[in-house]
Amino acid sequence: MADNLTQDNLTQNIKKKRDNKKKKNIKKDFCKRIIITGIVQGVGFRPTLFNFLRTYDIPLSGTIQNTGNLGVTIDLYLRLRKKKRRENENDFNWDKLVEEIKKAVPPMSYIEEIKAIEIPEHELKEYIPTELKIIQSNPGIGKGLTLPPDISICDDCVKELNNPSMERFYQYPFIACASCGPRFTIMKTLPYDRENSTMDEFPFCKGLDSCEADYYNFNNRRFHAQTFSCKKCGPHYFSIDEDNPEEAWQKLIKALRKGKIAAVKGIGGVNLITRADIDESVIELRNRKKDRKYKPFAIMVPSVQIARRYVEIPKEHEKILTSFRKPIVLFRKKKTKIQNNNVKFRISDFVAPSLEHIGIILPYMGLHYMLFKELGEIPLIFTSGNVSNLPMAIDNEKIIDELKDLADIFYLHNRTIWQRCDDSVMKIVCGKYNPIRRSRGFVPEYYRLPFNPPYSTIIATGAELNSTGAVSKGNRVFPTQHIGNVRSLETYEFLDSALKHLLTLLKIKEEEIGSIAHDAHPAFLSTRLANEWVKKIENKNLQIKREKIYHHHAHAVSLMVDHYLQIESKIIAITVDGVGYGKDKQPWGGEILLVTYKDFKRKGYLYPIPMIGGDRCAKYPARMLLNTLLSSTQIYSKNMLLKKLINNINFIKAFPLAEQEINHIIKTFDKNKIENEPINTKQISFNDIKKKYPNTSSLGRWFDSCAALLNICYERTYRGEPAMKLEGKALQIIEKIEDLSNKKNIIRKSRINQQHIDEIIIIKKEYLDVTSELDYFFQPLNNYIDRNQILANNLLWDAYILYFSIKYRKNLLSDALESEIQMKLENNIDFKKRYQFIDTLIQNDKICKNKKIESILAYLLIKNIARLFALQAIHIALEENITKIGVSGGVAYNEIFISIVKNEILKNKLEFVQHSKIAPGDAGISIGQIAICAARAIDLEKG
Amino acid sequence: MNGTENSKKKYPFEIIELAHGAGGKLQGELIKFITKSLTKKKVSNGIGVDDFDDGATIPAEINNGDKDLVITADGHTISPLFFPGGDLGKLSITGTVNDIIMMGGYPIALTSIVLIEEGMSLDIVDKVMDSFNRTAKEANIAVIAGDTKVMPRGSLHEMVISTTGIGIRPKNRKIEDSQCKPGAKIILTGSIGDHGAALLAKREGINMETKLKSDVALLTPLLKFIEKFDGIFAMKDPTRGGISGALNDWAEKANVSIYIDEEELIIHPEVKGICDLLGLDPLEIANEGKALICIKNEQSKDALNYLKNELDYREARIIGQVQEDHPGLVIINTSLGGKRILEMPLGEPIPRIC
Repeated sequence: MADNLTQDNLTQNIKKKRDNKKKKNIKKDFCKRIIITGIVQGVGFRPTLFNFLRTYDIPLSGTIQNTGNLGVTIDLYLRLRKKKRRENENDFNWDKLVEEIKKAVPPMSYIEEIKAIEIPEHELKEYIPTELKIIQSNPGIGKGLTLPPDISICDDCVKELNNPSMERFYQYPFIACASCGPRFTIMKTLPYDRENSTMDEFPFCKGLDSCEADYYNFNNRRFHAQTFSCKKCGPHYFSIDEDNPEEAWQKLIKALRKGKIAAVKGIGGVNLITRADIDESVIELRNRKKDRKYKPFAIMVPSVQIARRYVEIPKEHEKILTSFRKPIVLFRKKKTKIQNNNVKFRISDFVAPSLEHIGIILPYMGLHYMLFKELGEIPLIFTSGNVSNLPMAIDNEKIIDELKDLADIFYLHNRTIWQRCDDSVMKIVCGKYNPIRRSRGFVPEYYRLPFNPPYSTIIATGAELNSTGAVSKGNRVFPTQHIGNVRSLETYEFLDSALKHLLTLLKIKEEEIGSIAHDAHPAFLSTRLANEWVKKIENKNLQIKREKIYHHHAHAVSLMVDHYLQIESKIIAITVDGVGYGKDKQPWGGEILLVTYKDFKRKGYLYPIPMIGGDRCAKYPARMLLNTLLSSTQIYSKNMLLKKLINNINFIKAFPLAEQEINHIIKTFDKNKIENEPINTKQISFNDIKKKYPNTSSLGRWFDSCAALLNICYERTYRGEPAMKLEGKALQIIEKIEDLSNKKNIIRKSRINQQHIDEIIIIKKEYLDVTSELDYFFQPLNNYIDRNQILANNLLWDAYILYFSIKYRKNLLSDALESEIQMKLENNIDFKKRYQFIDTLIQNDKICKNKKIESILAYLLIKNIARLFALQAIHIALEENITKIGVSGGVAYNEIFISIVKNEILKNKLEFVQHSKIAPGDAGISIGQIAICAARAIDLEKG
Repeated sequence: MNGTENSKKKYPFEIIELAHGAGGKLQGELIKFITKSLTKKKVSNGIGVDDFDDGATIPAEINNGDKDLVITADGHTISPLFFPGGDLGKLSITGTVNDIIMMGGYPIALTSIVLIEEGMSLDIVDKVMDSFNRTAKEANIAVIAGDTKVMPRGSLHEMVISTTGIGIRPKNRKIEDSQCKPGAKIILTGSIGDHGAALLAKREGINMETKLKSDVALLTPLLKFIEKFDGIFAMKDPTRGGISGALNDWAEKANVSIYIDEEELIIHPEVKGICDLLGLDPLEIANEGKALICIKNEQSKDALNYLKNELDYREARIIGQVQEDHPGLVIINTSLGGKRILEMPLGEPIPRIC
């Protein structure tokens, strides 16, 4: 019936023709659609663009719009008179405009892609619009996430906060603008509009001087800002026992001044705040937090200048502290002498006991600045307000309920926190930023995989302690915020809901999930969660794969993603931490792996030590020490030689069950020992102790043992404590050595100063000489290598002999001579050498009376184990023809370990890969899990 | 596909380890594996092997047809044979009798097979069997058939006793693992871990200088309790795998969540000491004379009083309740605040502290 032209059809056709004619008035070159993806919402992007385009050389009109996950879409028309248009039509340079837009965008934004395309015919306007407008958002679907992380208060807002003439914003704790304020924590979904945030409860005030007026005024900093408000219309703080807001504020300040503990709700949760300069306050906070005996607290100070009173902040690392992310950054403590002399307020020793670092954080919301305005330069403890091991409460009722025994005073607000987000924590290791906890200020930013997975989405449930989950979309991996220890129902549910929230933000449907990755540890709750997700999805008759990923493989691959290594890359990874479930079902943690994205081979490891009593050995390092020493096989190792240690009163106290516990361990070893053990073996043989108990190759556990040996730490009250304290001890020697080179530099540069020379001589004699003299005892290091195993147990045994011989000024090896194996020992050249070495040593006052002997030994133990790992790794790399060697796992935060491994590797002309964006600790596991899963899927596709 | 791949059967694991018999997740895997090709697993609509309950039932025509037969099977092995509070003989009877009672049945008879290693002294065998016979008398159960075998030295360790228990229970009495209902309360009749701790202390030669002994005992007093309260949904004696294993079993089979209050659990200091020393969790080690009872909320207080005052279970407590919010999970409200998920024991502890 195509030719049957009715009257209706006719008129319609004529209309269409007329329309086309009209549209032709707008020539294609006169208008373009510019699509920008990246972090372009919630950073003042549209207002900035609006003002830029509004004032562009050539008049432009059209629309600027947030388009969901797609980003920002701008439809632009050239607004020229007909005649001029004709002259200009071929001149207007759209590429130039795009380049200029790139330069004009706000600093917090990040443009991933920007392109100018033609406006689709059907969306083309009939006439050239007369003005430029920001129009209502639409929920476009793109591959990315346009939501930025929470942004710390900007300088302009700080100025307004302190400007009495800015009535509506003066001293308003929630002050924010188009380019700063909370984002991730208050957005329920996208696009980034007020009604999708928890600010929807606070409609703009109206009138001449109002938020609404600011919103529509393109000259205002808050033009089209979505989440701001003022005193008149916005959220407010309140106290539970004081109705008058001014009184409530004064009460809070008074309480803090007095050293009381306050629970203060903030951006991503609630913080416990108290004075960091008063011992009693810090101790009280520790007591109330029960499980927080020694774990370090972060402190908040008003500025970098004030932070410098307490810690060394190298100029080049100042930026991370002041950046819009405002993480807690660990810096080296200043030496006590300097600290005490010029500073009004000290930092209590109980803030970070026995550690060389302190975590510093700067104010990141209006309220924090207001606190310091009242409290001056008093440093404040600033810690997440949670019951130990539980996620921090974010709901007012829950905050009061959970913290009622912890806080003296509550200062809460009535804005809903949609997503909990703890403060992030970073450590600078050999110049690189290593996140320990990547949360507020970072989430929901993504990492990019160096290849394209065939699944549109993979979910990873991470590890267990200090964990995160992650969701991928295409080649982008979005880790969740810090979840914590997934041991309780609360954290389990938090992990579940954080993953679901990411799916919501990314607009991912369940059927798009191709695979779920989890840790291989069968007892991890994160493994359980993965199983539950799989079950749930399968019940809907959807296809899904479950991928079990070995812990250390995930660590190593997270490092490969960090360095954007291509899919076919191979590296040697030293993966060192506390524990990860290994292929042989044993707790690994001191591994040298040959790694690809898809798979790994265990090429080397620490000699496994039976853990009699399992995790109790991790809790009480002395127990691990005893297990390690009893597993050592220096030819003269016999229980009797351990007597000095065992009868040491401190050591007995290190076991909650005292002698009974010690005897049980020794008896267990004795029972399982092979009779007539051959004397020249490098390894000890046992009957079935290896089968009966878990055997750990963990370097973390070995550091624990070292800490117990040197009387540094007998109880692990927080994750990594013994190892961190061991590092702290060792750093004291490094400090001396650094000091020495500084002084040498001074002399080199200026005139010779007798005082400096004297000091150099002292430092050299007291520390350097002693260190290298003692180190001789451990050389050559290949004594501690047996094929693919590093005999760290024997290294520790030697340190024990050395330390206790010095401590008691008695050659411990003479005890060995009294034993039944005397004859064999006397003929052993190695033994003789060592015997004589110790004999001379204990005559030496400089060594035996040295007050830093523990520091020296701590340093030597870390140094030598690091070298052993490096030597083995280099050996394997050369054998396998691989050029890259890296370190991952919790031990990678140990700066001494990293710098020694790095040195050794560079010396051998190999390439050292170090974490610089992704957490080397378990917070990075989920990223590795996704990358492995993705790489394997590519292989499956290929068949 | 080549021949070797073809002949390679897919196994859930390759080697049987001790952990596969420790009452945890791994044992579950083993049982599921060895029973998966069984075709007939139950008699008509009775409880069968795939219910993985304490025993089975056979619908029968006893007493005018209002009763079912309850059948249980158990292999008893323990090292050392004699331990503070009991021995293999006693354990064999209590284990069998308790299993019948936990299904709501009245024990009437059992059969037993005694396997003895070559070289055992008759003296020891006598002591074990004497204890066996005395306990049978105490439980008022008939030993109606049996068999003995002597095995060559090394083919088994000392002695193994294997029993089949026979009981009867009223048809309308449904006390089964899968019956746990949301809202119900959980009662535990006493302290936990005593048997496991006493045994381990003896085995490891730990002398805590205490009176710690196994709680091995007959649960026959509970028969009266069962008659008195009709709101009992399930009962279980938490042997291997401890209360952790038993509760997880319930949560899984009944598809419910179980919340336990840590403060209501009684752990004697000696038990805690042994567990600390050995790095074990008292919730995961065996009990041999305790019962977990899942009972209607409305009857729970009376039931507790009855247990405490009439039956002399002085340390009985309401330790928790059944909910429906997290099917399959056992959750402990800890004394520190917070809810710990109590996992089914694996069979052996794997370190996880990093």
